[in-house]
Amino acid sequence: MKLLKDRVFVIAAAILSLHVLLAVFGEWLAPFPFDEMQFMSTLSGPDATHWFGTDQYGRDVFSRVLVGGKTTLVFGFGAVAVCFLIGLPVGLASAYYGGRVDQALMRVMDVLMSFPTLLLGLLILIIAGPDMVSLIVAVGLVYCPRTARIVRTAALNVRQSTYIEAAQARGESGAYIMFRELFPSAVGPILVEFCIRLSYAILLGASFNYLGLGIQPPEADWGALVQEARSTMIRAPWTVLFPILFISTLVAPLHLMADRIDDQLKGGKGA
Amino acid sequence: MPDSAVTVPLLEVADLSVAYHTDRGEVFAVKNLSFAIRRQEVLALVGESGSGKTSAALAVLGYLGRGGRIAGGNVRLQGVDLALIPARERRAIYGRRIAHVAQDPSSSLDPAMRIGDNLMEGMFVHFGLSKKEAYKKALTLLGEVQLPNPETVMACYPHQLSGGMQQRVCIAMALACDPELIVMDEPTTGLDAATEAAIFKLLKALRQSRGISILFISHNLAAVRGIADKVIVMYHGKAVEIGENEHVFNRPAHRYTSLLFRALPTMRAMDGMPAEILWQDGVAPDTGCAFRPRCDMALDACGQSLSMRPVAPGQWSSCVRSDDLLADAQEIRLAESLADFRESSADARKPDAGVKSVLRLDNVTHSYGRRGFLIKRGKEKRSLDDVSFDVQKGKVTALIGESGSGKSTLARCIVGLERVQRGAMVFQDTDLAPLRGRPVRIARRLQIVFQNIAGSLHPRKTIADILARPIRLYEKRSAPFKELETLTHSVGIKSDLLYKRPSGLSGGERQRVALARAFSSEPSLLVLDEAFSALDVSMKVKVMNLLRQKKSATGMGILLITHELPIVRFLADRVAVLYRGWLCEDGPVSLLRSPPMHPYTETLLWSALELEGLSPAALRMERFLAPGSVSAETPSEGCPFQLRCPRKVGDICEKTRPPRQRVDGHHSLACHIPVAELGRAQQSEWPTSIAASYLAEEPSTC
Repeated sequence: MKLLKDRVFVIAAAILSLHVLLAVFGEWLAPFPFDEMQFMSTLSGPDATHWFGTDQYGRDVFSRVLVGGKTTLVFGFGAVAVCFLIGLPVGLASAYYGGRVDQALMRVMDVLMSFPTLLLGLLILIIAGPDMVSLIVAVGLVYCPRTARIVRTAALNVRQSTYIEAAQARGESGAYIMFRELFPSAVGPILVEFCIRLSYAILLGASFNYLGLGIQPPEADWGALVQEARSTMIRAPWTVLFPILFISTLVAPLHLMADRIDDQLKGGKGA
Repeated sequence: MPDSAVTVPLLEVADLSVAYHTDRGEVFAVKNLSFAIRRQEVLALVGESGSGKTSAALAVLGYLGRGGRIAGGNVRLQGVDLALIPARERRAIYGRRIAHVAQDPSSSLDPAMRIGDNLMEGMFVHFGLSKKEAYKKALTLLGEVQLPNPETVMACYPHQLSGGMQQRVCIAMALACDPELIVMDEPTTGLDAATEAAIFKLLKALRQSRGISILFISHNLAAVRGIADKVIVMYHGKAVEIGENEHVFNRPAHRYTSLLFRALPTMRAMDGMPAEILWQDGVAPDTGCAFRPRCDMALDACGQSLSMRPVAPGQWSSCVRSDDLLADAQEIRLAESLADFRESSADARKPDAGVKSVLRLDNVTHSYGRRGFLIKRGKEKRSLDDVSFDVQKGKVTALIGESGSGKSTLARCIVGLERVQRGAMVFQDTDLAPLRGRPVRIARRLQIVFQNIAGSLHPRKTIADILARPIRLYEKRSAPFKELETLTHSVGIKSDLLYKRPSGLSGGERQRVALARAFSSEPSLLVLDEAFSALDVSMKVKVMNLLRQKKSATGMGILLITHELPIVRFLADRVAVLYRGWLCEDGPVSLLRSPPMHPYTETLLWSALELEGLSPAALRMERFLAPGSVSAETPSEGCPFQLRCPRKVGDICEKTRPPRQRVDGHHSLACHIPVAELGRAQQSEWPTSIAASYLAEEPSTC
């Protein structure tokens, strides 16, 4: 494997694995219970006891970030999975079949997209009731039109290539052409979309939490941490800095890895 | 170097090397190239793709782009080294003293600007002319490049003009600043023979009237022969032969040149058959003669470092065997494969009595611009109009016509990429016309090779995956490695390339992989959509022979879509001629050799001959109008060809559709002139000089 010789890829993969490990073992590693309030030391800065400082209720930010990892990862990847489960086939079919199919699918997506994100999510959550699964489905549904559009655009760029026509003339099925011919050549922008969508999903999930429709406090995922800390952000920047740091160190390695994988598939650089 | 001119030559290139920065380090595209162009001289750089001819031209233009650099040597314009003068002065030279005409005219014209503005832009920049003066000058220029109705053309947008007209506009743009030198990079690639011939005629005229020097880059050897004074043959970045046109063409002093010239089917009578050159495989050696792995005359001495040396007056070559080549060209035996070629070709041309047809087209009609969803999109444009002909088992049917004649549309209809509106396409007892797409059992027997052969390979799959797919799809089994190996060997590709992706292969190798894939399912019908025009010269004959072998081994029928008549002459058994979607003529390939033939076929034939400098003075060539010279609208009444017909009778041609006349059993044409009369008229004008060299020669019997 060429990828394993790529320093950037290996480092990115290491950081990502660290995140997964922390998410799994976070509860045991946390120095304090994540919901323990210490009213003697609210909003204290990072020091030897509270590595990441404490929030307005005196809860240890480090512990909350560690414990919140699992929820965040499960929720983030879950929502993006729902998003792609719908967006990917819709986008590919739209690009491949074009014409009426394209018009019909994209208009449906437009209708979905014309709702304000929060409103649509709220609607789904109110109907389904607030729990983790509904939150995942709600965020996935809210974002799937955007994913579908990105996938469609990426696929449209290669739709007219001779090798797609060659596949059609060879008698390949629509599904084969969409997933085995169009998808691999459009995968670059799609991987990027995956990473971006993940960070958006985490933040949107946080908004729902804030409205009390998602994961319920005192449960803490990173998005919720950022959301809660909004009011104290100026006085105690550490309350938002560290959760954000964790979100970005999750998303950035994903981006880098996606990039390298795309290069490999292209067979270009260093091949 | 070859020039000991008394005066300083206009352009002198000395010891030029061009390198590109790649992931694998510096790669040299041009190595130690030297030449000189005098005033009014046309110098042609010829060579196959990857030979470095375009890089050399770009270096002359000072436009190597990012990653490329001149790694050695210099370019001097009238003695002044262009690399040493300040950038500002250099800008005044490019565009003004040295102009450039690029390969693809549509990308050199700003699509959002009218032709007039495109043309006048340069005049404002370089001369500071007023709008009125520039307009007047632009009109003159368009007249000079022989565009009809300059005023109308000025007001057009580029997309409204045909490729040939666009290229004329580009030439006019290049002429706008009265340059001394024009660099033309494959200016006629992608244009059809008639347009190409017309452009060449124009270039010759301009050279006379303007006294311009031209650096001409081309892989069309026949065309180069007609226009160049001096020729440089390049191979793998090096010049292998330099000389006066007639020397190089008549007695080449490098084995590569001589094989290249013989490998090319032309309209000209050849003393023998086209030569087969070995497949190029892997990387050419850097030391010694780069051609030696493919050379049939290579000696040990070829491995030593070689330099150009004079071999005859006005001729330089780096070939070790140049003396042998010059001494007696006849003695040198061509590859043994020629015998096979002759046999198989004779075999293929037996009379086609009782042959079953693989594909029968009946009144196939297709038009673009159908209704869209909710909105009606534009005017309907008919691209195929009641086309009927057969492709027979084990035969090659050539479909010829200029660009825009609907040839490719027909190919796309056959393989299911477009649907026909009317008519039947019977393929082995199944009518394809009503089908949407092609079911696997039909697709298996019906393969197509696209014009952009190399582009039909998925860039993200390995060659092994690409070749294994048809076997998986059609036979529902995974292909063993051995089988893939056999496939690649049949097209001369080493099996270690199986693990690479298309980007790791050379252009020629990619083309061959695509061909191998088309053959692998042993189709009953193979559609070749201009597949030859992208092939390198030295590969054409190889591929033709491969096709012949496959054809006689499996009885596969071939529909060969092309605008290259020489290839039709060598490969086809039958010909169908298409003009703007209308079938004018259909018959055995011999119809190209003797009248009567449809006036359009006549036009095509004479432009192909003219392109190679074979047009006789006696024939009034000006009667044959280039495609761009008439309206792009097809007349709705009468004969579609009436606007350009050299033999238009009169009213009847404008009012009535011409009847389809039978010449003999398998030959019919659509014209108002009775066949007998048409034959007589054409026969009387048929020039005897051409008859001797073109007609008498029958490839299959010599």
